[in-house]
Amino acid sequence: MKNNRRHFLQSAAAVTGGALLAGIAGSKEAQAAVQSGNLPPDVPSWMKKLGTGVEAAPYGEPVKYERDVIRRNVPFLTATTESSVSFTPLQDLDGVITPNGLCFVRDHGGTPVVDPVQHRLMIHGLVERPMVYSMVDLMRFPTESRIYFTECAANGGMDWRGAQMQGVQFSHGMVHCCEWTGVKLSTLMNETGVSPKAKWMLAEGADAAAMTRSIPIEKAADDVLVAWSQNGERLRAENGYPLRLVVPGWQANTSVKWLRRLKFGEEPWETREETSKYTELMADGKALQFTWAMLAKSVITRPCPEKPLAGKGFCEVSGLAWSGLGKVKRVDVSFDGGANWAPASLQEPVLTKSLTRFRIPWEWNGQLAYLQSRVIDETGYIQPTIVEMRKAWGSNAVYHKNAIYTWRVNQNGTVDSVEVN
Amino acid sequence: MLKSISVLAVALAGALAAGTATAQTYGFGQPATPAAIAGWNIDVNGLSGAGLPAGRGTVAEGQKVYEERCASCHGVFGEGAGRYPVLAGGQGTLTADRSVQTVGSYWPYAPTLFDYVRRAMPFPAPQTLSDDQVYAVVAFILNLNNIVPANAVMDAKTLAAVKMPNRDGFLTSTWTHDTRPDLHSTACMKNCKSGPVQVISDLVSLHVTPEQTESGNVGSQVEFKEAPAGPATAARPAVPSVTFAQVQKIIAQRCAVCHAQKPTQPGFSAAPMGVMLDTPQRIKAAAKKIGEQAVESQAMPIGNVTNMTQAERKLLGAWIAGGAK
Repeated sequence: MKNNRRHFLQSAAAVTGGALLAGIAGSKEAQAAVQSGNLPPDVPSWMKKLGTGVEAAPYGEPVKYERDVIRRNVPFLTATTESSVSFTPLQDLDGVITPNGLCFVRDHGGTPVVDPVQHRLMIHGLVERPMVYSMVDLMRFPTESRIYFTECAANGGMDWRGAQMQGVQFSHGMVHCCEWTGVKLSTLMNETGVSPKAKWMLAEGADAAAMTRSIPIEKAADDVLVAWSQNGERLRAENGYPLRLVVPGWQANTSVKWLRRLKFGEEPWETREETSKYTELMADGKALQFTWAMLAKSVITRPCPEKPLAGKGFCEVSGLAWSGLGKVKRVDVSFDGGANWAPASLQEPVLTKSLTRFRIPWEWNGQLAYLQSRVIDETGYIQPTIVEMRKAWGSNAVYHKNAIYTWRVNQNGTVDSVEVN
Repeated sequence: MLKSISVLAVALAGALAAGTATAQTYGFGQPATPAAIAGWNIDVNGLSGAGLPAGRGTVAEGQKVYEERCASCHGVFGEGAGRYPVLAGGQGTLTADRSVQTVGSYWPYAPTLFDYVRRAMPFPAPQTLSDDQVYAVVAFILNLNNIVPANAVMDAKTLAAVKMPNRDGFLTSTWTHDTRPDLHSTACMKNCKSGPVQVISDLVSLHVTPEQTESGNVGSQVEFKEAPAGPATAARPAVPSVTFAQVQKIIAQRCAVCHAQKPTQPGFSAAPMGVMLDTPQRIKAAAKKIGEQAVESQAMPIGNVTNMTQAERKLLGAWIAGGAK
């Protein structure tokens, strides 16, 4: 179990019932299955006794066999786990919706557990009617439910200087996609009478970092939600309970969690999180600021280092694509490192600023292959190559790395993260 | 029924045509009193200093607060312990291969420092410093970066007047698909490469990915075990288990703040003993000495002020054992 790759390979071998790759002998799990008395023609043991009662799990959990499907962090990345990130296990997920317990978490001062009865949202500054709202107050407003992806600006940042992360969970796992329910921010702006002089809004969280970001008024009035539900249930503490901002398509850091205050003003606040952080240092020493939108990105999630190929022959290649500027228009897949491309099929419905699942069939002949995906969004933006990105950005940048990603499929079916020319 | 729907449609169309000014209001919630606002209204505008409170603090007062409340993470000289943020130095590195982004080298506005320290620091106990203490710590950090003199007094007026070295280092532009610099205009479909596919970066040598066991993470930064034997059939470049880039990063962080032509560590105007470790050539030439001082006797860094870890010493040792290439 310690060697993860071996474990996955063994599982894969067990599933394919003996199509063993690279000389791996039958795993313990595979042998145990054969000797279990649960395979045909024997009747499985779970059919010969009663299961548990309906009250056994009043709030259900995944079955024990799915215990590997969890968020993980990268210990060397940050000084503490309170100001850190844990990654979504994209390799284990189907479709586009991220289960609440698996949504990546980026905290700057730990996860507070906020009592919803004692939580308030204050709206003030350049407004006619400064107001304080309880959760009960907020839930009386007209509501809306929308599916949006949320991506940390630093997603992929560990690979800026070269392939470093052997696994799609770490290379791309700072993204999740949920159905959010709440009141539109524009409703609250109208309710408090935001002044025509207001050009910016400061959003502040109730965590130990008192996270603050400035958001321009046009975006605030457009599609931003003040949300209390995520995939049909109340937010998880680590995703902002009881209230958070959802700023569709923009750096996740602007979707302030544990939202406690919105202040309207004429200028941006130039907070630490929009000057010393979340800015892009270019090769010439100048930095770009207010680079909010997460531009189009895609990645193949199957196969990937965590999900090697089980054998020659048919393989459905599948992955995720998204754009902070709108809808995914097309995803192309290459099996030869970018020399030739073929369009993948997109799972309907394709929603704006949402994850989109793509799939393409592949016949693997057992030879070395370099798999890539490339997304084009509805604005015409084409996902760049890493070579193109470095030309424009140098390698001092941290955020917004959305380059085409390469998986090398080795002849034994294992998969490595590499960069190609 | 039909009639009521059409009435609603007309009402909606009217509301939309009139814009949000006439949209319905609901009257939920309570007015925010001036007292309630005053308690929560802690933001300071980084550019103008608007919102800076009354109070003042000196560099000397700040040093005391800093040593008690900040230095255990950020280092006595603002050099940062472990992965905690480096606060001082780094000026002139923004175009270097490894930039050091600190208050002095990167932050554009001084009042932002007050805003951030007051709302979020000290990390384990935010919003426990008085405004005077925050002014003092800000004065000390600015002095560490040689931005204000040792006798500086920071208050709402003087802090707003501080001009940061990287003030003009930021470009703000709303970025869209057609303003980002790496745009390319075609999505080639066939025969897109002039030559064969070449791997330009391969992570097999790094061993930095955490193991994905059911219990979450195991291990820490880098375990310097032998590279796993790759599949015999897959083409993999021969790579040493410790790269020079790893070594260079450690030296830059732990040694070159003093051992450089122009030391960034306050109090050092020249490289101690004339040993400079600020270029790859100089680091490689000094490999033997690095081994003696930082790996074997561990006399360096002095007092371990830059917090070199045992893992880093081990890595340096492995690099030297492998020929220091």
